[in-house]
Amino acid sequence: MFTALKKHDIQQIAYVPDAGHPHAIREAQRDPAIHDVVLTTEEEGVAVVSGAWLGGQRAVLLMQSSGVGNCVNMFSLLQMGQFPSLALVTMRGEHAEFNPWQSPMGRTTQQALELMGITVLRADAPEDVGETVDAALESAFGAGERVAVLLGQKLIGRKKWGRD
Amino acid sequence: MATATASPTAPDARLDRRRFVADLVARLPEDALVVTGLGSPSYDVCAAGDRPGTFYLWGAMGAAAPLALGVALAKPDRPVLAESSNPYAALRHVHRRREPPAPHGELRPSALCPTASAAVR
Repeated sequence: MFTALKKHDIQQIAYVPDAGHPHAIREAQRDPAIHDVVLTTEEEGVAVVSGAWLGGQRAVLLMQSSGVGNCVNMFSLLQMGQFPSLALVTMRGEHAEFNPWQSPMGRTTQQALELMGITVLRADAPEDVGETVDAALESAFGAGERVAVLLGQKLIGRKKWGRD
Repeated sequence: MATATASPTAPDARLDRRRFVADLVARLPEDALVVTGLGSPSYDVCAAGDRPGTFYLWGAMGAAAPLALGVALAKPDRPVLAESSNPYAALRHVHRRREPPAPHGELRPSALCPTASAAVR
Protein backbone atom coordinates (compact mmCIF):
# COMPACT_ATOMS: atom_id res chain seq x y z
CA MET A 1 0.00 0.00 0.00
CA PHE A 2 2.74 2.42 0.95
CA THR A 3 4.54 1.67 -2.32
CA ALA A 4 1.40 2.72 -4.22
CA LEU A 5 1.17 5.94 -2.18
CA LYS A 6 4.77 6.80 -3.04
CA LYS A 7 4.31 5.89 -6.70
CA HIS A 8 1.42 8.33 -6.96
CA ASP A 9 3.35 11.12 -5.25
CA ILE A 10 1.26 11.34 -2.09
CA GLN A 11 2.75 14.08 0.05
CA GLN A 12 0.31 14.26 2.96
CA ILE A 13 -1.52 11.58 4.89
CA ALA A 14 -4.12 12.46 7.49
CA TYR A 15 -5.26 9.95 10.10
CA VAL A 16 -6.72 9.31 13.49
CA PRO A 17 -4.36 6.96 15.36
CA ASP A 18 -5.56 3.46 14.48
CA ALA A 19 -4.02 0.02 14.77
CA GLY A 20 -5.41 -0.90 11.36
CA HIS A 21 -2.89 1.11 9.36
CA PRO A 22 0.33 0.71 11.38
CA HIS A 23 2.67 0.10 8.46
CA ALA A 24 1.46 2.98 6.31
CA ILE A 25 1.47 5.36 9.29
CA ARG A 26 4.93 4.30 10.43
CA GLU A 27 6.37 4.61 6.94
CA ALA A 28 4.77 8.01 6.43
CA GLN A 29 6.16 9.24 9.75
CA ARG A 30 9.64 8.12 8.70
CA ASP A 31 9.41 9.62 5.22
CA PRO A 32 10.63 13.22 5.11
CA ALA A 33 8.74 13.75 1.82
CA ILE A 34 5.37 13.05 3.48
CA HIS A 35 3.59 15.22 6.03
CA ASP A 36 1.70 12.99 8.45
CA VAL A 37 -1.19 14.90 9.98
CA VAL A 38 -2.71 13.52 13.15
CA LEU A 39 -6.41 14.30 13.47
CA THR A 40 -8.70 14.56 16.44
CA THR A 41 -11.67 13.42 14.35
CA GLU A 42 -11.84 11.95 10.86
CA GLU A 43 -13.92 14.77 9.41
CA GLU A 44 -10.99 17.13 9.88
CA GLY A 45 -9.06 14.87 7.55
CA VAL A 46 -11.53 15.46 4.74
CA ALA A 47 -10.71 19.16 5.05
CA VAL A 48 -6.95 18.55 5.32
CA VAL A 49 -6.83 16.53 2.08
CA SER A 50 -8.95 19.19 0.37
CA GLY A 51 -6.55 21.88 1.53
CA ALA A 52 -3.60 19.82 0.33
CA TRP A 53 -5.15 19.65 -3.14
CA LEU A 54 -5.80 23.39 -3.15
CA GLY A 55 -2.15 23.88 -2.20
CA GLY A 56 -0.98 21.65 -5.03
CA GLN A 57 -0.28 18.39 -3.18
CA ARG A 58 -1.89 14.97 -3.21
CA ALA A 59 -3.11 13.65 0.12
CA VAL A 60 -4.76 10.47 1.36
CA LEU A 61 -7.04 10.01 4.35
CA LEU A 62 -6.74 6.91 6.53
CA MET A 63 -9.52 5.90 8.88
CA GLN A 64 -11.51 3.09 10.41
CA SER A 65 -15.05 2.32 9.24
CA SER A 66 -16.54 4.00 12.32
CA GLY A 67 -14.85 7.22 11.21
CA VAL A 68 -16.79 7.29 7.94
CA GLY A 69 -19.93 8.20 9.85
CA ASN A 70 -18.11 11.14 11.42
CA CYS A 71 -17.31 12.51 7.96
CA VAL A 72 -20.71 12.54 6.26
CA ASN A 73 -21.42 16.28 6.19
CA MET A 74 -17.75 17.09 5.58
CA PHE A 75 -17.88 14.99 2.40
CA SER A 76 -19.90 17.92 0.98
CA LEU A 77 -16.57 19.71 0.69
CA LEU A 78 -15.25 17.10 -1.75
CA GLN A 79 -18.34 17.43 -3.93
CA MET A 80 -18.53 21.22 -3.86
CA GLY A 81 -14.83 21.61 -4.63
CA GLN A 82 -14.73 18.62 -7.00
CA PHE A 83 -11.56 17.62 -5.18
CA PRO A 84 -9.90 14.34 -6.17
CA SER A 85 -9.66 12.23 -3.02
CA LEU A 86 -8.86 8.81 -1.67
CA ALA A 87 -9.83 7.40 1.73
CA LEU A 88 -8.39 4.09 2.89
CA VAL A 89 -10.83 2.59 5.36
CA THR A 90 -10.04 -0.38 7.61
CA MET A 91 -13.25 -2.26 8.29
CA ARG A 92 -14.67 -3.18 11.68
CA GLY A 93 -17.99 -4.76 12.47
CA GLU A 94 -17.58 -7.70 10.12
CA HIS A 95 -15.17 -10.68 10.20
CA ALA A 96 -14.77 -12.05 13.77
CA GLU A 97 -15.86 -8.76 15.32
CA PHE A 98 -16.13 -9.03 19.11
CA ASN A 99 -17.38 -5.49 19.76
CA PRO A 100 -21.07 -5.02 18.91
CA TRP A 101 -20.67 -1.22 18.91
CA GLN A 102 -18.64 -1.53 15.72
CA SER A 103 -21.47 -3.24 13.84
CA PRO A 104 -23.99 -0.46 13.08
CA MET A 105 -21.42 1.71 11.29
CA GLY A 106 -19.50 -1.25 9.87
CA ARG A 107 -22.65 -2.53 8.17
CA THR A 108 -23.41 0.85 6.61
CA THR A 109 -19.94 2.15 5.78
CA GLN A 110 -20.16 1.43 2.06
CA GLN A 111 -23.66 2.89 1.70
CA ALA A 112 -22.73 6.01 3.67
CA LEU A 113 -19.80 6.66 1.34
CA GLU A 114 -21.85 5.98 -1.77
CA LEU A 115 -24.69 8.22 -0.61
CA MET A 116 -22.17 11.05 -0.39
CA GLY A 117 -20.99 10.50 -3.96
CA ILE A 118 -17.87 8.48 -3.25
CA THR A 119 -16.96 5.43 -5.36
CA VAL A 120 -16.19 2.41 -3.17
CA LEU A 121 -13.63 -0.31 -3.94
CA ARG A 122 -12.81 -3.16 -1.62
CA ALA A 123 -9.92 -5.53 -0.88
CA ASP A 124 -10.26 -8.65 1.24
CA ALA A 125 -7.12 -10.58 0.31
CA PRO A 126 -3.57 -9.38 1.04
CA GLU A 127 -2.49 -9.90 -2.55
CA ASP A 128 -5.25 -7.56 -3.78
CA VAL A 129 -4.44 -4.59 -1.55
CA GLY A 130 -1.57 -3.08 -3.54
CA GLU A 131 -3.37 -3.32 -6.89
CA THR A 132 -6.68 -2.02 -5.51
CA VAL A 133 -5.04 0.96 -3.81
CA ASP A 134 -3.00 1.67 -6.94
CA ALA A 135 -6.17 1.57 -9.07
CA ALA A 136 -7.99 3.83 -6.61
CA LEU A 137 -5.13 6.34 -6.70
CA GLU A 138 -5.31 6.33 -10.50
CA SER A 139 -9.08 6.98 -10.39
CA ALA A 140 -8.66 9.73 -7.80
CA PHE A 141 -5.69 11.65 -9.12
CA GLY A 142 -5.84 10.59 -12.76
CA ALA A 143 -9.57 10.84 -13.37
CA GLY A 144 -10.35 13.28 -10.55
CA GLU A 145 -12.77 10.94 -8.76
CA ARG A 146 -13.69 10.71 -5.11
CA VAL A 147 -12.80 7.16 -4.07
CA ALA A 148 -12.65 5.02 -0.95
CA VAL A 149 -11.04 1.59 -0.55
CA LEU A 150 -12.51 -0.62 2.15
CA LEU A 151 -9.89 -2.96 3.62
CA GLY A 152 -11.80 -5.98 4.90
CA GLN A 153 -11.50 -6.95 8.53
CA LYS A 154 -10.04 -10.34 7.53
CA LEU A 155 -6.97 -8.48 6.33
CA ILE A 156 -6.34 -6.94 9.70
CA GLY A 157 -6.67 -10.23 11.53
CA ARG A 158 -8.42 -10.92 14.78
CA LYS A 159 -7.86 -8.19 17.29
CA LYS A 160 -6.06 -9.37 20.40
CA TRP A 161 -6.27 -7.52 23.66
CA GLY A 162 -3.00 -6.71 25.31
CA ARG A 163 -1.41 -4.20 27.58
CA ASP A 164 -0.04 -1.03 26.05
CA MET B 1 -34.00 41.97 37.00
CA ALA B 2 -30.83 41.52 35.00
CA THR B 3 -30.82 43.09 31.59
CA ALA B 4 -28.34 43.04 28.75
CA THR B 5 -28.29 46.85 28.60
CA ALA B 6 -24.82 48.30 29.12
CA SER B 7 -24.34 50.70 31.99
CA PRO B 8 -24.65 54.30 30.76
CA THR B 9 -21.25 55.09 32.27
CA ALA B 10 -19.36 52.07 30.83
CA PRO B 11 -17.95 52.42 27.34
CA ASP B 12 -19.36 50.03 24.75
CA ALA B 13 -16.53 47.52 24.40
CA ARG B 14 -18.18 45.31 21.82
CA LEU B 15 -16.00 44.37 18.89
CA ASP B 16 -17.18 45.52 15.49
CA ARG B 17 -16.43 42.19 13.85
CA ARG B 18 -16.88 43.28 10.29
CA ARG B 19 -14.59 46.26 10.73
CA PHE B 20 -12.05 44.14 12.59
CA VAL B 21 -11.96 41.60 9.75
CA ALA B 22 -11.66 44.38 7.15
CA ASP B 23 -8.69 45.83 9.06
CA LEU B 24 -7.13 42.38 9.38
CA VAL B 25 -7.52 41.57 5.68
CA ALA B 26 -6.09 44.98 4.76
CA ARG B 27 -2.95 44.16 6.76
CA LEU B 28 -2.35 40.75 5.16
CA PRO B 29 0.75 40.27 3.04
CA GLU B 30 -0.11 40.26 -0.65
CA ASP B 31 0.73 36.57 -1.06
CA ALA B 32 -1.36 35.42 1.92
CA LEU B 33 -3.88 32.64 1.37
CA VAL B 34 -7.16 32.86 3.26
CA VAL B 35 -9.69 30.18 4.21
CA THR B 36 -12.97 31.28 5.74
CA GLY B 37 -15.49 29.22 7.69
CA LEU B 38 -19.12 29.13 6.66
CA GLY B 39 -21.41 32.02 7.52
CA SER B 40 -20.13 35.25 9.02
CA PRO B 41 -16.39 34.62 8.43
CA SER B 42 -17.05 34.18 4.70
CA TYR B 43 -19.37 37.19 4.60
CA ASP B 44 -16.94 39.39 6.53
CA VAL B 45 -13.91 38.50 4.43
CA CYS B 46 -15.84 38.96 1.18
CA ALA B 47 -17.20 42.30 2.41
CA ALA B 48 -13.62 43.37 3.12
CA GLY B 49 -12.98 43.16 -0.62
CA ASP B 50 -12.66 39.97 -2.62
CA ARG B 51 -9.03 39.07 -3.23
CA PRO B 52 -7.30 36.22 -5.05
CA GLY B 53 -6.15 33.36 -2.84
CA THR B 54 -9.31 33.23 -0.77
CA PHE B 55 -11.28 29.99 -0.36
CA TYR B 56 -14.76 30.64 1.02
CA LEU B 57 -16.66 27.86 2.76
CA TRP B 58 -20.44 28.04 2.85
CA GLY B 59 -20.91 24.65 4.48
CA ALA B 60 -18.76 21.77 5.76
CA MET B 61 -18.78 23.21 9.27
CA GLY B 62 -15.43 22.82 10.99
CA ALA B 63 -13.42 22.69 7.77
CA ALA B 64 -11.73 26.09 7.85
CA ALA B 65 -8.81 25.32 10.16
CA PRO B 66 -7.93 21.82 8.90
CA LEU B 67 -8.35 22.94 5.30
CA ALA B 68 -5.96 25.81 5.97
CA LEU B 69 -3.57 23.33 7.58
CA GLY B 70 -3.55 21.21 4.41
CA VAL B 71 -2.88 24.32 2.33
CA ALA B 72 -0.14 25.52 4.69
CA LEU B 73 1.66 22.16 4.59
CA ALA B 74 1.50 22.18 0.80
CA LYS B 75 2.53 25.84 0.52
CA PRO B 76 5.09 26.41 3.28
CA ASP B 77 6.30 29.63 1.66
CA ARG B 78 2.90 31.35 1.78
CA PRO B 79 1.23 32.78 4.88
CA VAL B 80 -2.14 31.10 5.44
CA LEU B 81 -4.98 32.60 7.46
CA ALA B 82 -7.98 30.60 8.63
CA GLU B 83 -10.93 32.63 9.85
CA SER B 84 -13.41 30.60 11.85
CA SER B 85 -16.23 31.45 14.15
CA ASN B 86 -15.37 28.40 16.27
CA PRO B 87 -12.12 29.11 18.09
CA TYR B 88 -11.94 25.65 19.65
CA ALA B 89 -12.09 24.00 16.25
CA ALA B 90 -9.43 26.35 14.99
CA LEU B 91 -7.05 25.98 17.90
CA ARG B 92 -6.96 22.24 18.09
CA HIS B 93 -5.17 22.07 14.76
CA VAL B 94 -2.67 24.85 14.86
CA HIS B 95 -0.62 23.29 17.63
CA ARG B 96 0.13 20.26 15.56
CA ARG B 97 3.53 18.86 16.31
CA ARG B 98 5.60 16.42 14.35
CA GLU B 99 6.98 13.78 16.67
CA PRO B 100 9.85 11.49 15.70
CA PRO B 101 8.64 7.96 14.97
CA ALA B 102 8.97 5.37 17.69
CA PRO B 103 12.17 3.46 16.98
CA HIS B 104 10.88 0.01 17.82
CA GLY B 105 7.87 -1.85 18.97
CA GLU B 106 4.33 -2.51 17.93
CA LEU B 107 2.13 0.46 17.19
CA ARG B 108 -0.99 0.74 19.28
CA PRO B 109 -3.65 3.41 18.92
CA SER B 110 -2.97 4.95 22.29
CA ALA B 111 0.77 4.96 21.80
CA LEU B 112 0.85 5.76 18.11
CA CYS B 113 1.41 9.47 18.43
CA PRO B 114 0.07 12.50 20.20
CA THR B 115 -3.01 14.04 18.63
CA ALA B 116 -2.93 17.63 17.48
CA SER B 117 -5.12 18.65 20.40
CA ALA B 118 -2.71 17.14 22.91
CA ALA B 119 -0.71 20.35 22.73
CA VAL B 120 -3.73 22.53 23.52
CA ARG B 121 -4.89 22.77 27.10
